[in-house]
Parts: sequence; structure tokens; C-alpha cells
Amino acid sequence: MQLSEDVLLDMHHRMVRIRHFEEAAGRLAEESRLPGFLHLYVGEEAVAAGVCVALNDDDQISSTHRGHGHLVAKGGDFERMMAELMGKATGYCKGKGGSMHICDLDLGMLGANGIVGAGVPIAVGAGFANKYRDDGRVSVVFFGDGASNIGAFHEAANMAAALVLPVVFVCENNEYGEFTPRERTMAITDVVDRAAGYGMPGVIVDGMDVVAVHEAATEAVALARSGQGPSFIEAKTYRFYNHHGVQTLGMKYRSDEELAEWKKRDPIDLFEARLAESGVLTAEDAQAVHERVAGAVEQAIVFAEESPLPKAESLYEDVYSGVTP
Amino acid sequence: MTATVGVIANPVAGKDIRRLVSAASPVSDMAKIGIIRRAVVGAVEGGAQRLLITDDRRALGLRAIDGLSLDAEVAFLDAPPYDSGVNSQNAAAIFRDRGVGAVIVLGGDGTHRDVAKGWRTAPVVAVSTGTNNVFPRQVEATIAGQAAGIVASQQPPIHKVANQAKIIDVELDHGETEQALVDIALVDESFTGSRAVWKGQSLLEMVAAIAERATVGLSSIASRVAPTTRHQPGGVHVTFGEGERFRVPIAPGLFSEVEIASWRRLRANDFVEMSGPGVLSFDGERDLVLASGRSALVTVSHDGLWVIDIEKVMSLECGEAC
Amino acid sequence: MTVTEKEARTLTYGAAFNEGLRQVMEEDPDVFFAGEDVGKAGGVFGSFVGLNDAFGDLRAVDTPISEQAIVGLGIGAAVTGLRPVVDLMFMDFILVAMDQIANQAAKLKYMFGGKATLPLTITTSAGAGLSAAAQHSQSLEAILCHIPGLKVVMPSNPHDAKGLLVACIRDNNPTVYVKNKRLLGLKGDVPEDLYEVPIGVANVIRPGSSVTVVTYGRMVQESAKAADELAGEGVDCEIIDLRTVQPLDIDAVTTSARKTGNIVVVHEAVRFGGLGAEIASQVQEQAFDYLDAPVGRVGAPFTPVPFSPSLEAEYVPNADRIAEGIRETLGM
Ligand SMILES: Cc1ncc(C[n+]2csc(CCOP(=O)(O)OP(=O)(O)O)c2C)c(N)n1
Ligand SMILES: [Mg+2]
Repeated sequence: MQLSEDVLLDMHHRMVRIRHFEEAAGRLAEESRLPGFLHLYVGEEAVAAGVCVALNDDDQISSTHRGHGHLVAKGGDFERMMAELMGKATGYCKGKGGSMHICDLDLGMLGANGIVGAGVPIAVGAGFANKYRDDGRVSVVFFGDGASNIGAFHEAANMAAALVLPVVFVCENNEYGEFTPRERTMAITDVVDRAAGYGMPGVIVDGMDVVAVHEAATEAVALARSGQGPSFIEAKTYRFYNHHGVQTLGMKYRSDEELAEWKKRDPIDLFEARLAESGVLTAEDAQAVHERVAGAVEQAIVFAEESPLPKAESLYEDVYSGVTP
Repeated sequence: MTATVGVIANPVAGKDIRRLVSAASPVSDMAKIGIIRRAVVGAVEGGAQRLLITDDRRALGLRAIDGLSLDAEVAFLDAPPYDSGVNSQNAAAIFRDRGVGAVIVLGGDGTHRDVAKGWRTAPVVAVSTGTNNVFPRQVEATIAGQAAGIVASQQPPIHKVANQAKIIDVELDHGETEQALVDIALVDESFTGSRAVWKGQSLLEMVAAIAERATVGLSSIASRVAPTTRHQPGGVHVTFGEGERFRVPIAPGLFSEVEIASWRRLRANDFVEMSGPGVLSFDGERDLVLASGRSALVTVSHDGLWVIDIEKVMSLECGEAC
Repeated sequence: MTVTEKEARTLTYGAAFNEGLRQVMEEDPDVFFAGEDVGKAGGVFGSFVGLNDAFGDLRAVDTPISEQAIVGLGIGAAVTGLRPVVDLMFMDFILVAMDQIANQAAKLKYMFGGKATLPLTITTSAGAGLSAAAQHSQSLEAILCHIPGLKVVMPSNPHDAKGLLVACIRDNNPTVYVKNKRLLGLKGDVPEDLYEVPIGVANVIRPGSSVTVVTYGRMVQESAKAADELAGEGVDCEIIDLRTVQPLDIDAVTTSARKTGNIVVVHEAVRFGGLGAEIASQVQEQAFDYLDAPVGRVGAPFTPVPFSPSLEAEYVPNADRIAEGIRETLGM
């Protein structure tokens, strides 16, 4: 079955948006223009894009500390994202959350998360609400290989399966948790091996191939939407930058050769080559997409820099709903 | 010569998208480790003096023999850094060069295809750990291993204990060649994507070397019009389009409608030309994009892997007594 | 301060921690440590650098991201005779492991009628001021101090960073050792030999007569700056570095209260329900008659830690706010 050109171009656009946003954030961080920790999603774009294109606008996702890509893939607004990264009042979280808590509940993006694995039960709760209202929505949880070692993941996976909830588990296996390779912390290689233990179907896909991710996500979402419960997708992927920040080479815990090997399979390059071959998007047209997106990112940076800092009083707001005691 | 058994275990077999579309169960690393361990025990029992085992990032092989006290020498091939079909292919070529007497292959159709690409006429004991497998059978690894051990140590004439399999050769217009063991199909796609083929409507044409009724997958389609066992020479060419409709088990647990426009039997070395655009699938896996204007020449011949018949080997072992 | 014969040299707070750990591990083969990224990678703050090379994977253990199991590993190993140090990277993550800490580690001895002994040390890093936002910046010591069975230390300088760590590891009770992230690079004199700073003993780091500032952790440095500032205004501050927050060295505080007549408690943690409340009430119970004014408290406002540097500056107590608090208590 051929994917429609619209879907292909949409996936491409979302990946390019993530890439440019992240590269720009990395540059700003390098110039000390962004406060706090920055976990970049570069290299993993095909996962968020492939999954989110398979979702409806009102489906939900929950995310991780590496969350910008998920928000962009769900349609996040560059200006409010960039402003949040700079801690400005116009940001998605009014400057209170920053990179690690970026979210847009209107887009069904239930938040990046500073606590590894904590987004998993939250997505399961959203899935429960969807089932409760019987509104046909599906929730997706993105989480890392490392996160699959934490209790919250296991409890939530079992619960989702036991309660037959419309949830899709998407594990972004990039082989590392911070600075420790997976094999030092797990006796299995494929996180998906765990799915069977909870009674969920599970599949491995090439996380550098957006079409592969999209095909699996489409099937998993269809299962969830039709009341057949949760399923599990493990996307094999790789982050091109350090755990946080923008270092690429010379890291003690992984080799430059390994990075080079993965970079040969840059998800955007791979996809653009195929799109060109199949006549869907010429190299020039792709270039135009990049330029347009890069322009939008630049504009967002200007917007963010010109935005005001949060007012001091706002520190005390938003602790509770209603009147602050 | 030292009786040597090779073990090729594909670490990624049994985890693809068919887990989602067709309720195929995933095969975990632990399950594979158990299978390798039983095969190794069997091989030594059968007389293997040396075992050559593939290694991989998961260390399936190493973990499989961990703690076993084996009356045989065990060596591992260097673990390749990435999972790829090329690993099984390379391992098969190394086994050929090192005088391996029998190869235990743990995987699905795709794994066996990789082995054939590395060593076209390897003597194999084919053990299924993949998904919808036509080429390897479900056999208990202990006995499969034992049969391999017997063949490697007693070296009976190979045609007495094995059947030579068919092989599909594909020649691409710029000289590149490819192989398949069961079927090759041209599908109406632009991407290899998640690789499996599970939508009947996407099929354009196919050539099957094995078209047996009791199988699942593309091979079962060809069997509807021109059943051809793995032992008969030649194959079947099917083109899809307006014509006769069939419902076939295109993947485990998944039936799909296909419409066959025409078909013909192929004799050994007849060839079929498939033209792009489309994606070529080999043994049920989309693997190669055939751009428009490019074509592939497909032939079926009977000079592939030697598939060891476990039943025959075991009766050789027991002699008249059993 | 513990006096040692050998001459001190300068180390950072982080390096002092590292040296203390290394030396106890050399001394006692039952000591090992475990946590996320603490082995090969040497810890995300570099506190464990070189120890995996020195002691190997069995004594410098990389764990999965599994806070409950990390603490549980420590409890199980401690109760069966080892002397574990387990690390929870950020203090915020103790909340993920709270059952193991509060229901298990803290209570086993008591529940088992005294039979269990838990020589367990939990190390972690607290503190705001790095734009790390609400889940990577908290100071949660009050929660821990509320749980009978735990001891809690919060060193303010390199010397104590080493000595308190050694004391915690050698202690036969579950101890929580809280580094402050922003002190890691602070340099100070650290003796080369293995020494302890006793748990439960406060340290008067600056004698004074007008007011007693009771504090710990990074706020010791900020309070010292405030004291310098106030010296110009004729206010002579005495600063008590509690060093241990559970058990509390209340005698040191009341002794000083009797001398100065004024107490201001300073901590980075949220003011409401913080240690300041406990100290204030104990001081009024024991030294009410000596007080010239109600006990003052400087702490963070009752909000999560904000991300934006401009809001965080408003949030985290600093020398100016401490000075302001002292002036208020003194009616200036
Ligand atoms: C509960 C908890 N423990 C530890 C951390 C520190 N930490 C942040 S990211 C990370 C690694 C996560 O690895 P993985 O889930 O594989 O995601 P990746 O960073 O590779 O995308 C760790 C240990 C945390 N934020 N929360
Ligand atoms: Mg990871």
C-alpha cells in the first residue's frame, strides 16, 4: 500500500522541524543563551514524527526529559517553545517549567518529564480516561530504554494490559541511559522482550526509518482504537549529541566510530533520498522546506529574546487552582 | 578432520511487525538462548568435537553455553557491532572456509536466505525461530543439534541424508545479484518500511520456488493455483490484478484476499523479468526498492542449501536396531 | 573541627567526598557503592571518578535506573553484613524510593525488636540555583528528618564533606548524606588522612554576640556573606553550621541563644514545615526566657522551584535575604 504524498511530506516536515529546532537550541546553549539542562532529540526524529503522524490531533502523548521532539511532532509552536527554553513569560509554561517540563495540553502533549519513567503511568491514566469516556482517543507514551528499568514503567505496563487500555508504548532505545551503555544495566537487548510478560504484543522497528515507525504505529494505534488494548513498539535509534548539551565527539562512554556509523543512517537524509528517488520531493524542494523551517526557528528566537521575563509575582501563582491560600 | 558443527543464531528473528498485525508471538532472547543451548548439547552428543558459534551484541551464544561442561572445543566468531543479515551471511562463508561439516541455523526464512547467500550449498539443519516460516520447520533443537553432530562426525554422503533445496536467483540490471529461498515478490510500495508484507492488495507479481498448501505467507498464494513442493523442480510465476480471487493466510493469524490475473509454471532456469517501480520482497521481507526503469531477472534453480533430513540421520545412527 | 596532625591541603568539596569514599573502601572491604552512572562514568557530578578503576565493578556498581531497587539493594546488603553506600543522583529522586527509605530502611531495626543492623549510607545531591526546575532542585531534608530511624547530614564545606561521609559509612544506622550541587566546586582545606566529623555535632563557624544564625549546607556560605555585610552595620553574627540535621544538636543552638538572645534559622528548603519550624519550637521550649525576639526564619517560598533564572533568583535564599531576615529579627 502506498502512503499518500501528504503523509510522506507531513512526516518529512515534522522531522525537519524537530531537527532545526533542536540544532538551534543546541547553538543557543553553546552560546550560554539558554539556562538549565538541554536534552536534544537530534537523531531520533523518525520516532516522534512517524508515531505522531499516525495519531489524530486529539490523541495524547506523554514524554520524557528529551521532550522537545515529541512536542514539535505533535504540532508544537516554535515561538512558545523557544520562549520557554529561555525562561520567558511568553513560553509554554510561563517560564516555570523549561526544557524538561515543556508541554501543550491543548495539543494533547501531556508534558516532558524530569523523572525518568514517570510519564508512563500518566499516559496510562489518559488512556483510562479515553476508555472511560469511550471517545476513541488513544494515548501514546514515549520512554527510553533506561526508563524501562524503573518500577513505574512495569506497574503501568501491567495495568494498561490488565485494564485493556488504549495505550501505545513507544520505547526509544538509543542504547544508553546518560553515560552508561544498556548492556551494563539490562540482561536483555530488546526492551520489547518485556512486552510479552505483560501480555502485550510487541514489535521492533528501525527507528531511523520513519516509514517503518509509521507502519508499526499505525497498526498499534488501530489495535488500541478498536478496543484491543495496549501494544509495544521498540524503535532502535540513537542520539547524535551527548546525553545533555551539544558535545558529539570524544565521549568516554561511546566511540566516535559508533556515532559515525549511526550518522550514516541519519533519518532525515535516508528519508529525503527515498523521497527524491520516488519523485515525491526533489532535493531542491527539500531544501526549500529546510529553509522555510529554519526561518521560522530564527523568528522564534527573536520572539523569545524580545519576550519579557516572568514578573516576580508570578512565582507565587499556579501552585493551586483557584485562589492561592 | 575434527568434526565441526557451526551454529548460526539470528538474534533479531521473530520480533518484527507481524507481532502487531497477526498476533505472531515474539521470540525473546531468553527463548533463543534456550534453543541454542539445547542444540549445542545435542550436537556434542551426536559427535561434534568442535563447535563454531556466532556471537552478537546480545551474547546469545556465550550465554547459551554458560555453565555447560561440554566434551568439545567451543569457539565464537567475533561479534559484529550491528545487527544485520550480513552477519549470518559472513558467518556462513567463514564456516565454509573452516571446514564445518554441518550448520545449525536458528532463524526464519530470512536467516536461511542469508546463510545461502554466504554459502550457497551449506549442509544445514534448519530450525525455525522466526515468524511465518516455510523453509525451516519446527523441530526440537536437541534433536536438530544431534543430527548435525552425527553428520559432521560420520560424514555420510550428503545426498543420503539431505535434500538439496531450490534457490531463487535475482539479477538486477546493474549486475548485482540477490537470492531468495521461498518466494520473491514485487509489491506496490515505495519504501521497505517495516519490511514484512502483510497486505494482499499491495502485491503486483511474484515467483515462488515453494508453493505448498500447508504454509502461511506468500508461498501459500502460489499454491492455490499451481502447488509445487520444495522437492519438485521449477517454480511458479503469478501476476496479480483482475482475475480469480482467493483468500489466503498471508501471515500467521491473518487472512487476506488476493486476486490473481495470471500464472504459469517455471522450469528450472526459465526466467521472469520484474520491472519497477515497486519494492522487491525476498521470502516475505521488503528489502530492495526497484525504481521505475529498473528491472530484475528472476530464475529458480535446484542447487541451493543441503537441508539435512533429521529423520534420515537419526535412522542412520540407530542402524537396523531401532 | 577535628584536628589532625598532618597538614591540610586544598581540595574541592566533590574531590573531598571522593577521597573519603576511597579511603574507607581501602580500609574496609565490606564497603561498596552503587548507583546510576557512578561506576564507569564516575557519577554525573564527577564525585565517583576513578573509583571503578580502583575497585572494579563489584564495589563500584553501575545500576539500572531503578531508585527503589538501588535503596533496596543497600538495605538487603546492609542487613546481611555489608556496609553499602547507595547513590540517588538528585535528591528529588529519593521520592521515587521513599518506601524503601521510610518504611524499610528507617524502621527495620525497630520493627524487628532491635535485631537488624543497617549500616547503610544513602548519598544524594540537593539544591536549587541551576535552572534545573521543579524536579531537579529540591531540598527535601525535612521529609527525611521527620522519619524516626534515619540520620541526615548536609555538609557545607570540603572538610566536612569528607569527614561526615566517613562518619556516615562507619555508622551502624541508615544515614542520608546530602551534598549540595552548587558546593561541588568549592575549595577548602582537607586533611589527607582518614578522619570523621562526628554525626550530630554542630560547628560554630563564626563566633558573635548579637544574633545566632543557625544554618547548614550551602546556606552556611550565604550566611557568612550576610554576616560580613551586617558587620558593617554593627551586627555581630554568630553562625552555627548544624552539619547534621537529624539528630539535631539543639544544645549548641540553645547555648548560643542564651548568649546572643536572638536566633535566625536559614535554609534553602521551603520555609513552611521546614527545619526552621522545629528549631524555633525547640528553642522556645528550652530557652524562651533568653530570647529578645521571636525566632526568625529564612527559607524558600511555598512554591515549587521555578525554571526561569529570574524567578529562581527570587526563590532561592541568598545573602541579601538572610541579612534582611536578621535585621527584621533584630528590629532594625
Ligand atoms: C527517577 C530518575 N532517575 C534518574 C534520573 C536521571 N536521568 C535523567 S535522564 C537519565 C537517562 C535516561 O535514559 P533513557 O530512559 O534511556 O532515555 P534517554 O536519555 O536515553 O533518551 C537519567 C538516569 C531521573 N531524571 N529520574
Ligand atoms: Mg536511552
